[in-house]
Amino acid sequence: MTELSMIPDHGNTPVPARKKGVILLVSGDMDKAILAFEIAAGFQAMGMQMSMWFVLYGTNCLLKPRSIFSPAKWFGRLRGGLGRITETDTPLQHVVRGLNHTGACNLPLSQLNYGGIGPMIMRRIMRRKGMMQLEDLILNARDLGVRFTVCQICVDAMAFSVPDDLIVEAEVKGISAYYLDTENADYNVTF
Amino acid sequence: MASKIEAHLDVCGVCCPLPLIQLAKAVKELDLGQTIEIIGNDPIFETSVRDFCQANGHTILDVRQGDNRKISILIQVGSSA
Repeated sequence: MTELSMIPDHGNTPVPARKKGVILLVSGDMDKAILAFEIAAGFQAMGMQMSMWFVLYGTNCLLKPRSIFSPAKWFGRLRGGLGRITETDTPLQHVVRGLNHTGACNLPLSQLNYGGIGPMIMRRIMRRKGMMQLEDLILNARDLGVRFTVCQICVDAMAFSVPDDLIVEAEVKGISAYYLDTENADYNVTF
Repeated sequence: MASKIEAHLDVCGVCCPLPLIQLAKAVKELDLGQTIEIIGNDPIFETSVRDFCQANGHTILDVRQGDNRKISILIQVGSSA
């Protein structure tokens, strides 16, 4: 039983409301992130309204790339931002920040990683085949109108400073917003 | 058959889902009833454009097979997304 709410177009012909889809990205592996963004961009191009949710290491592909040797990662002040409670910060969050290798260009593969050689080989193959790299996929998905949302407790625990650390605009929301998104969604997957 | 083609799009050499993404971006710029010609050589290019048109209510006016696996498809925009 499908219920289509009719919204008026510029003509008099009523068209059914757009279908909605939700993708939850948990994994920080390059292959799963590419798959998630390819589905999001492709479905958005086909006419579905997609929203992507990022929790834990899935947020790594939206974060700005920063070297593991960067002093700002280890010794800088933990900054505030959207959804952060700075009063309860602990120094251990520096360790998590420092060990977490961020950036869409730095993600490992889940199979055949071999200490970073695997992603280099895979990128070379993808360039040769004319496939899009993860960074371009993210920007393409943003241009098409995919909505990005980051989980608030992950932002708070892993000390992401939200408007500054991200390469795209994203909202910070919790489980209630995820419920509202998935409740009416026609498509919902988790990577 | 429309004599005037409003937009041309060449997606040769890229693979799925980039033709779809570029086509969706190009169709968004066009008005109802305008036509766009898209050329590509992806192995699943024709089926993906047909699926795109079916899902969004566009009409395929012409499909021409060129050399080098190139396919040119003429689309009339049916509904503005």
